[in-house]
Amino acid sequence: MAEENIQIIVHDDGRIEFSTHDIKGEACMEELEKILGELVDDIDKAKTTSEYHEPPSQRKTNISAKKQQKTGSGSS
Amino acid sequence: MSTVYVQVDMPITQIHCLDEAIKMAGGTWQRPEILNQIATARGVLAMADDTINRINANYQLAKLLKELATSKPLDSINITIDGINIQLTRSHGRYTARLPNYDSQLPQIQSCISKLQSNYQAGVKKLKENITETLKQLEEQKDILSSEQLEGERVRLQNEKLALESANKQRVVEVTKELEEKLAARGFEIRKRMIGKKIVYQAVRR
Repeated sequence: MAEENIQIIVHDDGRIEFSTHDIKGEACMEELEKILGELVDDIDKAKTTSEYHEPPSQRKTNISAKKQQKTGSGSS
Repeated sequence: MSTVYVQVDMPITQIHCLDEAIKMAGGTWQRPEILNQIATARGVLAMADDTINRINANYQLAKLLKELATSKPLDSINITIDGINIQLTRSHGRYTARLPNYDSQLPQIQSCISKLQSNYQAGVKKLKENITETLKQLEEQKDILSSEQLEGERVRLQNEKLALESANKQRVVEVTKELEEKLAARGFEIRKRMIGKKIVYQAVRR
């Protein structure tokens, strides 16, 4: 079974950036919602790659959702 | 009953900038006493007419700014703008206004919060520029000013920065704690690294 990976970067001004690998499409968004839902606004608007829409059997990387959520003091 | 969440996507624990943002929007709030003391101290510094008074005023203001930087963030903030009351509650390191979606004032409240965010961000930017500019001026004047004067000015500016950055630090502490708990609870193994000022989590689930 493939490893499921999530990379989360917390910037010093509070912004959060994340990407996932090898988590199936819908499951990925559910997982992100459970982990980051209360910390990031509009997580459902995270950008997805074309691989997100591929069938699981052909997928090398199921999703690479990446989003920068500004949560800092206003500097971007 | 369903509710919508109007979220303020910034850690407005930098209450000095929040105070300015509310004033700019023509609003009022339950202003903490420390802000009145800081305003008075700034006035004293601006009026200081000799070296000794200026040094003392700088230290007094620095002390208050440090107090502001290290004070516990407010649990809730009540703001009134254009007759509309907004209550922001602190959770997950940020302030959120929880409103029922049938609230007839929802568009006005969203508009007020948007205005506040914009003012706040402009205020933070202005304060940062002000600190940088003053530090530059100080550097240019270092041969004119006495060491006591320089030290007083530097301590004040350091604490201005501290007050500005403490909100972000607090936010990062709360976010990382929550992230680690949630990732562990979902069965992820976590590897945490610092890259420059960034904290990078590599979470793996087998």
